[in-house]
Amino acid sequence: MIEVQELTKTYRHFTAVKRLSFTAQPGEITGFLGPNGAGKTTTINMILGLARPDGGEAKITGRPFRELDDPVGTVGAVLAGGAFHDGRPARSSLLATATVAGLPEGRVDEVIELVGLTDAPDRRVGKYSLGMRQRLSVAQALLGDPQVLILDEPTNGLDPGGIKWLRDFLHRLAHEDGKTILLSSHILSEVRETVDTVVVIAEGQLASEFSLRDLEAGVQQVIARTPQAEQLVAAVGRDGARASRDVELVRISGMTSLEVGQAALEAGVALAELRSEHPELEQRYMELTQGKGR
Amino acid sequence: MGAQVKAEWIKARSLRSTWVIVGLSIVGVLAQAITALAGHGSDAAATTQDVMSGSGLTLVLMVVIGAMITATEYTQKSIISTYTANPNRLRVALAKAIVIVAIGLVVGAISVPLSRLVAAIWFAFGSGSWDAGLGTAVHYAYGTMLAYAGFGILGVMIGLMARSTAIGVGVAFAAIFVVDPLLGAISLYSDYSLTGISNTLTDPNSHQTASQPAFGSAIALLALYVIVLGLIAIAIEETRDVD
Repeated sequence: MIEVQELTKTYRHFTAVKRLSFTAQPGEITGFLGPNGAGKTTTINMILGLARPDGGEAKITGRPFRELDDPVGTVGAVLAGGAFHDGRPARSSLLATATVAGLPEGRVDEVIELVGLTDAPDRRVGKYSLGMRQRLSVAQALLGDPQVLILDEPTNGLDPGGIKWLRDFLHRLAHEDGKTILLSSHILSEVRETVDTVVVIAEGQLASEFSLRDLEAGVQQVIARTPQAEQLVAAVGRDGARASRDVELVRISGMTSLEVGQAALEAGVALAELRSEHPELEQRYMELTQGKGR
Repeated sequence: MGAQVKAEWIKARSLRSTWVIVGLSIVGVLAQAITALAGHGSDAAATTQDVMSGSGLTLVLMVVIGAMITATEYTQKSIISTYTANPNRLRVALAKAIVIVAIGLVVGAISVPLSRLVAAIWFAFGSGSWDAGLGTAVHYAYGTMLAYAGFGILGVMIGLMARSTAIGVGVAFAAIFVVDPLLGAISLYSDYSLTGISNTLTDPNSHQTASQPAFGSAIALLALYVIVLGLIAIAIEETRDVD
């Protein structure tokens, strides 16, 4: 678990983070959202002991980072831009971290394989693409198989395949292995597809903390495309949902996409497209952060 | 602590720049010996002194490599990986210092036998003589190793404070090789100057002048400078943020 309590950081006359409190629970992916300059990276740096708070504290599994007995085995961090020397081979960078943590050399090869960098482990990091660097950061974060993962803009530079891989991977780590994951991002689509809980900060302060499931349960909209739009409207209507039609496009409120799919199947309606839309997250985010970018 | 030292060694050895500088250090030693032999006169003792005294270029390079080992961690942001793996900054700094000491000792240990080898080949094919028994060689090697190791640590600490390769190397170079010799002209400081210390250590048989400390004093003074600068650098590092 990550506990942030009344965390404050001031640079001369500028308060980057002001009395920020939130928690990230085990078994969940917590999205850490905010516009550029909101204080996300400063907060993460304080959680990781890289920056000293002027007030409050951050704890990981009940202790400040700098007091952890086994940092690599407790927390893995993927920080924006990576944290590797361009002139050093990727494998040597991981080996140095593994050595500090007392991990066997074989673990380095395991994580290299896990993130799909087996083709270029001895290539110097400076020759890596942005996506490869991100994968390397993930490999380093996973070295000690930590209970807590902190990821700052982890999809930067990843191709669509890489983004999907990371999303599925994080889901598995949180929901099957029970790990605590804090994911900082300003890409709403990424957050919506990945996280369970959202912490929004603006101007260094907590703007809101809520569960994405609760938010979406309120006003989820399902979009279906079908040449039998009229039959589909009638079918979902029978189950109590509200639906509107625009030629082949049907917008349904009050049902999940799974329920719409089942209703279509039962009514013998062929679907060309079926997806959920969550206008509420963008709307809520904009309300919370409007005009607060630095 | 052992694991951190091993990790720092893995980091140092995996960079080409480390080996380039170590290679140049060896070249510096060879150049020093050849230059001394080419200009040698009839004085065997003076020839020995010139051939075997540690190279000034190598001393500079030891400072540069020390500053680079720490400063590039900040310019390349790899210090984030270092501190998230081990948040104990004192241990990290000590581990880096131990690695540079090892490099300095090895380069110093290589330099004297290498100089002797060059001299032996030179005298085998030409005229002249020198006076370099095993005892003399060991004495030179001992002082040279200490000088390289000590100046390497000074570089590490300056790099730690500068957090920039260019600034770290520039400050280290200016402080040790420009400001210090200039201050050495002031009689009050000259007995304690780094220039005097390095001259004594790399050339223990040199004729002592008023501006050069004795061999034992030079070791003690260098140790004092290393400890004081190290304490200042680590105290500053403990309070600074990494971003």
